[in-house]
Amino acid sequence: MSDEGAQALAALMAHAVPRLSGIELPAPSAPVARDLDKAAEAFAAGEPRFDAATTRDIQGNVIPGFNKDHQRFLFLRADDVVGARAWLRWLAPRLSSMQEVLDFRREFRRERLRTGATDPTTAATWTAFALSAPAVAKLLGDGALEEMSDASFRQGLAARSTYLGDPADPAAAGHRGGWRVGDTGSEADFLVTVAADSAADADAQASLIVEEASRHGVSVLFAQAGENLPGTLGGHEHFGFKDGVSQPGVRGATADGELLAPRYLDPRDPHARLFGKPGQPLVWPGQFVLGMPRQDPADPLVPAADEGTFPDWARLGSYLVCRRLAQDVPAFWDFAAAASAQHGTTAVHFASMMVGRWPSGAPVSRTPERDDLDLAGDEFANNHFQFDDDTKAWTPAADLVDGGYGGDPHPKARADVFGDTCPMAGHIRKVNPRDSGTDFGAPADTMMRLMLRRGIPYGPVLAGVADPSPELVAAERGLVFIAHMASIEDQFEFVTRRWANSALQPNAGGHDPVIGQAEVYGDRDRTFDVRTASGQAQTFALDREWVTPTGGGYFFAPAISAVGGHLAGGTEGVG
Amino acid sequence: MELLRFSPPAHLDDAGAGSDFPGLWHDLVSGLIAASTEVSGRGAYVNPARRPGRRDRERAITWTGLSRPLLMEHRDDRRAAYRAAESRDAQIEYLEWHVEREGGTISRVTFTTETPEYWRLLADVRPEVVLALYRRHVSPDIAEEDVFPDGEYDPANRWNTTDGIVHYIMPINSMGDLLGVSQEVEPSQHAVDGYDALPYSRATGADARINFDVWAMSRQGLSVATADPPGLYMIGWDDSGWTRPDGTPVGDYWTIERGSRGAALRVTYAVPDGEGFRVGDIRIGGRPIEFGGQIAEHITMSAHVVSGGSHER
Repeated sequence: MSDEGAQALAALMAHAVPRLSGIELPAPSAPVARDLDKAAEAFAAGEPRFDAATTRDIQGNVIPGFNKDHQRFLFLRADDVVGARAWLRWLAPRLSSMQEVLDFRREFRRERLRTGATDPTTAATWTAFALSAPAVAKLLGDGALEEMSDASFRQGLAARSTYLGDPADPAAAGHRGGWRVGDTGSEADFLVTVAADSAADADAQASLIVEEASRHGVSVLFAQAGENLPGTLGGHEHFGFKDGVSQPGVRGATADGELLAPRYLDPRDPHARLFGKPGQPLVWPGQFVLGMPRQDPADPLVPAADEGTFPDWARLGSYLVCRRLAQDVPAFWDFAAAASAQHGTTAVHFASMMVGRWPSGAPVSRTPERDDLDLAGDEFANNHFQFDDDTKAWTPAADLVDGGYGGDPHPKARADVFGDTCPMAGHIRKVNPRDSGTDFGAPADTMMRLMLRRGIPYGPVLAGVADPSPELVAAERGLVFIAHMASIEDQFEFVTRRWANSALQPNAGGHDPVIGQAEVYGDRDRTFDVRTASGQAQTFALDREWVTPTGGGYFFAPAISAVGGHLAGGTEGVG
Repeated sequence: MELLRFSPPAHLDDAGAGSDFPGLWHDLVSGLIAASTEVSGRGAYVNPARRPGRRDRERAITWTGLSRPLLMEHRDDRRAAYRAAESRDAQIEYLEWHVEREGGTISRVTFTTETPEYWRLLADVRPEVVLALYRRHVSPDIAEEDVFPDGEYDPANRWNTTDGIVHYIMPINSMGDLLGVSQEVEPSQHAVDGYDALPYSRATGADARINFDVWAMSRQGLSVATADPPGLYMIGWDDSGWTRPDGTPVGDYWTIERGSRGAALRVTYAVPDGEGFRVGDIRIGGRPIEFGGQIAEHITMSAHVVSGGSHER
């Protein structure tokens, strides 16, 4: 590894991000009238009511997401269908519901805003379940699989691998033949996710599940531990950048009047009906959960006319994409260091242009020259930016102001239609072009492409480590990418193939330099354009690959009632 | 600043030296663009043949060749979208194609981005060239009266519709439509950003992409103009993940018949004879090619603009 790259990597996140604190949100046990008013307004605008039966049925890692520091991913194979059904009956009551996780999140959000804490003070261990296409066929029969409208799910990740840009050469790293799990023939039937506040809790729950599974002819094909990175890198991925800052807000509220995505903009703000937090687009829940109102192709304020096609048992379920992505951290920073020298900037600045955010998570669009930890720590500001026009000041809602939020004093993003500040191919601009037009239309279309990301790193941290041993440098590390959506083809595959892997879409300017892959008749060349101070495009060849797929699968996370009911009791299966 | 003279698409020289065609083409294109149109904010869409201006930055406006409206209509059944897209009437993203089959299996698909305006003008000026091009690209058996019934060029002749393809016939695919969309005024007339311009009622990817890009640049106070030559191009395609019957990656089966790489006007996709299989035997991401639209979905379209002027901050 080059000295420059190693130095930049070792120095990452030397200081903690000062999290916003001192804000008192209304107590959840006694919601003030304003909160109920907001939910009533949402209902009046057609947003769905998640009644108690629904919030008990949707799995909690779909909405609102586990977001725990310690996770275990169990890739399981059902060798005995009768046994598997019995195991599903055992598992179903142990799955964590949307309501359970919502209750926890509500408390933790208040605590976080009050104290700036990044860890909750109470513990919880949660479990999620999903099954693959082969498992649907095993449990319910081939006909039932055909009823699943997502053709990519029916085919599976391995069959779609080269379509996603993975190498076609069986000898190449990343080819599905070398995956740890998920190649054709080694596909998991089930994916169980355990999330906890300590590694011990996660391991204990995972052991319990595996033990019970093995008694029912369900065996472990592969297991992967995911661990949040330590210290100041908490919430970051292995290259050193804050991950998961930008997530869509799900429209709708519980029967109690709790909005799934709280509205923090003043109703008079011109974008109040489009965003939850500033920069967090509100998306109709049917984009993530089958059977709920989904996004209209033209108008983000109204739901589409229909809810889509799916079998009854799949209602309130969600497709899940899992990709185990190995990250070559030294290669990434070697490239950033070499390219930065050519461009005339620092390695950290160049790497931040590749990502579109600084390591802290502060968006390059708002702070083009240097990282800004205060901006990064303001969760109402760190995602508030657009690309095509100057980003206007936003008006906080009254309850946020009353709670103590002093407003967003950070520098604003300026119009950047040519990618002078945040390159067109910068990762976050590639996968979410926000306010810009795209190859598929207006920003309303982009809202149909968003996913609920639930990923977590695996492997030992290298970023921020001074003088790492050769063994540590060489250790395997990466990201367990997990995302929930209603259409694998129109969301995950669309964003991956048509945007990240393309030098031309959604905007010309090169490939996504973080996750993009390209293969043209065996040639895997990729490029990344950065603008010089005079506005000229400077094209860099991305001469190494620092993200390599090493496994995964396409799954479906059913409603909890379907796990213990239809899937466990189906008699039409072939087992 | 000099006034621009518009060149033929991809700098084609079908009419040959000494022809009136270049001047007539310039006049035709210029006639489709107002001197200046305030489309959004402080900037404008301008006619560089009538309004001199700075041409600082070129931008490729890109979109996808397969009809977005059909993909939206058939969100849960992509195959239905492909099937519906086989009709030229539904090919509304400035890309039209013609499918040839052998025993039901696709053997060749021909894509075009050529405009009726170009071919009509060429037919006026050099009808014998039009006939020669039809014979070269579509069939040597074409009779003059097929293309010029009663001596007049018929854009909807059988060799450009049922039996072949030369240029657009879908009414909203034309140079006039491209330049018309480019000059459309942002409907609310006061949008301050792309979100403000929602809801956006037009369903095609092309219209939205052109509108939103031009409006965004215009809101920055820039003057926006078509690049030269004006036109619609296939800027690229992506056949990664396409496989032969044995599962190995396909070779390069694209042939640019008119235009050039990055600015293609007419492209065929056909498997060379020696390979032992046909287009319909290829799989895209594991799915057999049954319709031309499955290929069109992986073709990236483009129109190019240049912008300049006061970029005041």
